[in-house]
Amino acid sequence: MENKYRQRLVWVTVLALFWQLTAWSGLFSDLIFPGLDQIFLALLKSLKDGTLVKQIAFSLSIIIQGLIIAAAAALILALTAYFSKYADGLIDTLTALAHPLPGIALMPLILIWFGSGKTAILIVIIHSVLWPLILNLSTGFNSIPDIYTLIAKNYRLNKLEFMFKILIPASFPYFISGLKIAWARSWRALISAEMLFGAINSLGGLGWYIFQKRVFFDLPGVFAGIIVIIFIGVTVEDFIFKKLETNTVRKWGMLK
Amino acid sequence: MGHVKMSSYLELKNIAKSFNTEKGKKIALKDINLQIKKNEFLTILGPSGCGKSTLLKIIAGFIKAEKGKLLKNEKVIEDSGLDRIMLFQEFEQLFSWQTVIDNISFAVKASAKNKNIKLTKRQIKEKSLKYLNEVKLKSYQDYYPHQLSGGMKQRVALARTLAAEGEIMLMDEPFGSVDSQTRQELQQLLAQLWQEEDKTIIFVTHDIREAVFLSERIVLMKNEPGEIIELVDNKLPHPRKRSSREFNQLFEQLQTRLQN
Amino acid sequence: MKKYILIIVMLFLIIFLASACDIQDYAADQTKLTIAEQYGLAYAPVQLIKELSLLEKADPSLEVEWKQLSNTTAIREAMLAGEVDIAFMAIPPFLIARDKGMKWKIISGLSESPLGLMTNREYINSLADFKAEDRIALPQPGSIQHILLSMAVERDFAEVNKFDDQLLTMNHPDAMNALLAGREVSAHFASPPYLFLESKEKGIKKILSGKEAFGGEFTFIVGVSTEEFYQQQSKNYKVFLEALTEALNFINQQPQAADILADNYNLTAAEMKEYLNWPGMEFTSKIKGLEEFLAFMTAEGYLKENNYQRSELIFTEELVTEKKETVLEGAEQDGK
Repeated sequence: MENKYRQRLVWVTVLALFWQLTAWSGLFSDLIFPGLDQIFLALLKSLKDGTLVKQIAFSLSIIIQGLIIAAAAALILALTAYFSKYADGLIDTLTALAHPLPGIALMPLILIWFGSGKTAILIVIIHSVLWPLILNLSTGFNSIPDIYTLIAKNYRLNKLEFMFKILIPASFPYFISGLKIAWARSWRALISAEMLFGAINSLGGLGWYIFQKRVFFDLPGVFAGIIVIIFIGVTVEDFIFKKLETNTVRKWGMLK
Repeated sequence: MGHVKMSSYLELKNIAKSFNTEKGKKIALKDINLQIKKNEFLTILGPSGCGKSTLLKIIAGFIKAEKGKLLKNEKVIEDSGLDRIMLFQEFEQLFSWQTVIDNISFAVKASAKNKNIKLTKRQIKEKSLKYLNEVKLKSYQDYYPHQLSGGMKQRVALARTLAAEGEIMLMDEPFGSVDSQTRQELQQLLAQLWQEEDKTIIFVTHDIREAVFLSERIVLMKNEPGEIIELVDNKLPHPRKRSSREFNQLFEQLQTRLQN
Repeated sequence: MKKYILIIVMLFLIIFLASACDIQDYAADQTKLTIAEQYGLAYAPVQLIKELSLLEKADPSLEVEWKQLSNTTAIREAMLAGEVDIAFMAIPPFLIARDKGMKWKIISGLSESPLGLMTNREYINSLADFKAEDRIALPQPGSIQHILLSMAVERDFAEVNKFDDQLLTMNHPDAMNALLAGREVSAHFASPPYLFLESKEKGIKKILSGKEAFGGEFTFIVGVSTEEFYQQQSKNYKVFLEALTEALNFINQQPQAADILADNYNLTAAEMKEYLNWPGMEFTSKIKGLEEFLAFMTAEGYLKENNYQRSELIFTEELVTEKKETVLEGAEQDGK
């Protein structure tokens, strides 16, 4: 594990060096290809005057809210589908229709129905998270060993006990992989949605920050925003999810 | 002298069950009649396909018979319950997300709830450790199932089944997935535990030696269709030795019966 | 270690070669002209150049490519990448990029246009009536609509950022829909034809005109191109400018301009004519208001440099205008 990060660090340095050399070579104007020094200056400036921190906090708070709401909804829907054939049919159909839709495509509709601003972005996130989670949870529920159903019968567990003591923990690996997909989709949807919505000079998140930079022709600023997005994405995927997995499915020997 | 009728403990009356397969209707069980005595160790012995597992599942209430009745203390029972706890063959019967001790606590809690007894956390832990100790795995209490060998997993499962405190323990070829050395150790453990407790055990197997080692009474079954051939008493004294003459005599007797 | 170095060198070479090809193409290509096409009434003369094939007629060997790009930012970036030679946009976005180092200048004026802040709320009759929850839709930060609104706000309230938290970025079609829907959006700083469509709707009224906000007349859309293009493809530059003059004359003098353009704008010929002749709609190569925009945007920090000379920002001024105002005579010749 240590080795992997060391390797990554080496490659990042190589790429950074390569970038800087290209910038210095003068092959491209520094409007198109700003050097790392310009980018870091832009990054520092935004960090110092607090705008970037505020936008990061905004983006993260929305995505966490969205993830929690969608996870709860997905759990409820998937459980309902598990226990009721009719519900299963309905939810399965809904998922099949909605899953292929990228959230951005729904934007005009969302705009008309929910207006713009925080609500609209939240809806986009929930849409990105809900369907993959439902799919994974449902698959997980239906994949638990049959023997667990027999055990539940034997021990006369009621539906609730069965859900919380067996069904949900047994499908945890599926929940986690669903969550990873959901995070990836929603993070990307969030940034795109923020680029479309938002007010000027106020809170609009990272996507909005990048959009502002772009519109004011500040390419180093755009890159600074991109770096932050990458950093956050890597942190969540490599550290938070990894930690979660280690303390659950890895510990339990349940890696898929 | 008057004839004293023994009230039956567990009784199967005219049980029949068939399955629809691609090749048509398969009669898994045809007219099974069986009386099971309290606290006896009964083995259902037969080749694969003779319906012994199906029979056990009907007793457990997992499957419903097409015809016939299951009676306990002369009352018809149709559902499953903690009075008839099943020990499965599969290793995954243990909950992989819980430690060994928590797996056993699951049964302890279920049993307490069933009896309307409230236990404190400490009491639950004590009880769980007691059962874990009976299968000699106390030092593994904080391990996760995936860290245990097959034999150890089955021992934990056995402890859990004991912890459920059911009158009747149903066992569906529980030692079938482990190597023969481990299997013998587990048989030894089971025989010992049964002698120490008041439990009715209905044990399904295709392994004749296992039946001879463990049981008091052996139900011989044949397949196509699934029927009881014969009931054989096993009066060998405990502790039983696999190498003894009596042991092997009984073994051969059963083997002959089954081959016909 | 050697492996790493080898890979670095190889990557470098690949990029070098890839970009080298591009540069060569550009310098050599005198036979291709790429023009950014935008939808809007203010761009009508450019549309005429396309409809009447004026460029092909002037130089049959010229390959003309019209690129549809969705907004000014995209156009700016395409020009930076060398994909677009000539484009049309409002003065503020041009200045912002120029200020950040983009090497481009104005070729010519294109149109003046009525612009207006339209609202659907009964209680709003002037800027002072806006409440904190009222949202104003406009194309993007740094757009002319944003700047005009800021100018008005600065003048009325001495607080240029007053509405910044209430602004919504929306393109004109979406903004119009939202305005007519009457919920989320309280106002839309509109340009033609949306301005005209909105003013015909019941319940929508104009509370501020572009002219009022600016404090006078100003050019709405100008044509721009890079210095590189101007220097390296001067022949094509000239050809385009002549075509533009011809188009401007045509639209101002020929009545059938409306018939030719109507289809493209999905209007009837009568509607087209009405819009072309709407008061305030002027097609001229004059460039008005540049200094005022410069002064305001520098004062409010949108621009850093503050010593721009007019000649730094425009290639050549009186190359061709159809409305000639000679300084000596001070008399207007007839045009339209």
